[in-house]
Amino acid sequence: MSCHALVPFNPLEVGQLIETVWTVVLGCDVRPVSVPTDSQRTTNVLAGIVEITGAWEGVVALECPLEFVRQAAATMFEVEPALLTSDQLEDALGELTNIVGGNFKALLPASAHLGLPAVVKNSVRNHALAGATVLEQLAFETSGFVFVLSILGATSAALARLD
Amino acid sequence: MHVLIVDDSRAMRSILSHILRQLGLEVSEAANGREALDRLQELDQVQLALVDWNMPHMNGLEFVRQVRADSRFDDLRLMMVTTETEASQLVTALEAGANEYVMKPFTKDVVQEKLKLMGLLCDVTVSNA
Repeated sequence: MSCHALVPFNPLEVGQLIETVWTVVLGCDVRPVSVPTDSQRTTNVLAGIVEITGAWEGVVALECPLEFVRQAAATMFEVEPALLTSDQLEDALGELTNIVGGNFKALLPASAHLGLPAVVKNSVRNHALAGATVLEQLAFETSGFVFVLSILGATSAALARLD
Repeated sequence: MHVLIVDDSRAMRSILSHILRQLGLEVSEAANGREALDRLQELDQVQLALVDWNMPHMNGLEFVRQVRADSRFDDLRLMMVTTETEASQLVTALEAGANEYVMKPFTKDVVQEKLKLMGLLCDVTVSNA
């Protein structure tokens, strides 16, 4: 069975929700692009992470270049990018992750619970989620930056409960 | 009208605050339900609270329940502003005493329309300030 066969959501719908969130919250266009290889990825990133538990269990992670997060936070806080604090950057990415995670949860076929978002420096692969199964990865370009949405870690036991 | 925004995200409070001020409303903020209960006791004449669901310390649903259990806040209107989309959860919030809800992400027009539906806002000219 392929990994995709285990995924209880349609990646196209996930892409559409990213477009909606980016358009409504940030006023930015986004377009899908190929997921960058390790050598193509920028190392200066922040990652927003939110866990979903219940009938489906996994993690939604948004890995964004720091400079994109700065632009997004400037829009959300309506301040000049240079004036933003690191707390404001993390808060803005955390809220974007929360919105994406909540709307992703709505695509799942059964009841689930959304946790509180967390923000970490560098790729999620450098953190505790490094060993998690990647169920889906989608990349998008916005304002010259590429960010990656990863859906991680649902176990077969959790997925089996959806049957 | 005085509105209390209850959300643990400062970015979301900033977005909502900007929209509400454009609509000519006075705004105060709290970072969770517990802080919001304190603010309600300090502030006079808060008519509406916009309440996030998912917050640390005291979540939005618990805040709604505590507000509705306190007769001092009988006139306070409550609108959930949330990523929660499960119908059963939204029904739970409405049964607990929330008057309305808005899904994140939202536009300024959606917030304005919800306030009109609640009878809290007449047709107004939105400033660009």
